Amino acid sequence: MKKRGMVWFIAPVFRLVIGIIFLYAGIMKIADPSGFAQALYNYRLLPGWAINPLAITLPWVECVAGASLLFGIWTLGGGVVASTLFAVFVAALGVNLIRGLDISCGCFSTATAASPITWLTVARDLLFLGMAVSVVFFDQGVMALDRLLHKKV
Amino acid sequence: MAKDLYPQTSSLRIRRGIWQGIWLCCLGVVLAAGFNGIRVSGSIPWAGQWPIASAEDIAEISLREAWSRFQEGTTLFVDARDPLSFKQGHIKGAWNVPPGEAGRSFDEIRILAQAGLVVIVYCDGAACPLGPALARTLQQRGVPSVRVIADGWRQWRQAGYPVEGGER
Repeated sequence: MKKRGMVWFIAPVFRLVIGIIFLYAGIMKIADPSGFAQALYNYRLLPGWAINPLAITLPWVECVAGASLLFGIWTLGGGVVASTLFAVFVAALGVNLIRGLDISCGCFSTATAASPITWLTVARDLLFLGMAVSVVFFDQGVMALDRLLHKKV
Repeated sequence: MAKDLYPQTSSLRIRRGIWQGIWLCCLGVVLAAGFNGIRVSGSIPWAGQWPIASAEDIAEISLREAWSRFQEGTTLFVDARDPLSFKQGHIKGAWNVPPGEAGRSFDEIRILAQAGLVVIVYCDGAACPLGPALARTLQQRGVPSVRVIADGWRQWRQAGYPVEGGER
């Protein structure tokens, strides 16, 4: 499976973009865990006991996945985590849009008045999902620290 | 051109990605636990006090279903907001059971529910905890078929369904 040409060039660009997005989103949420917990509660998809643990851990998982993609360390792992998270985000947004809830996304800002969810939010996350999936399938480790680590071994 | 660094078959890439992903998640959880433990301000407890979320024991009802049942006349809407908000406007025919109010209205609601009405509790705003809290109380008092409509007042009003502004 030799994937070359445009994909060879674009996959690392996608990797960097998704890496920066995840790092930024994670840091914004780490700054305000109680605001993020409120945003999670507003989605009304989780049992009460799961909200705080997720509000504490999810931003760090985003940061770790973001750093993994940005620096190209365990790139495939970062891509799988990012793809999974985006798939979950799309599902959660979709369910609440169908329900008609007027809630804030909680994607990049934890303020309850910021960025209400719309179908455009879903479309944006689907685009990000596609980019993350393409990293898993097509990234060849260009500009990735994996390459340095690989050489050492 | 760079040499291939990762497996070239999709299944091997996914398999390696899943293993690495699991380790990355573990690393994230460890960092989160550590940072939440040492941060000076803004840390939150692992066990929070959230009223309920829909995945638990109270069933939600969609706006569409609530409306069709309303038209059939088989609903009893219960407004969980404070009396002042209720007086300013509420779903037509709704009863007001504000937080802290107990006793007689629960019995009346139970009798109506046992007679076949679907009790639909609502509040204003998706973050409002009063609706789910009241629904749970009603359920504990033996009211059958309690449902919650999330962000009910705003949704109902926005859809243009019947409201009234006087007191009940």
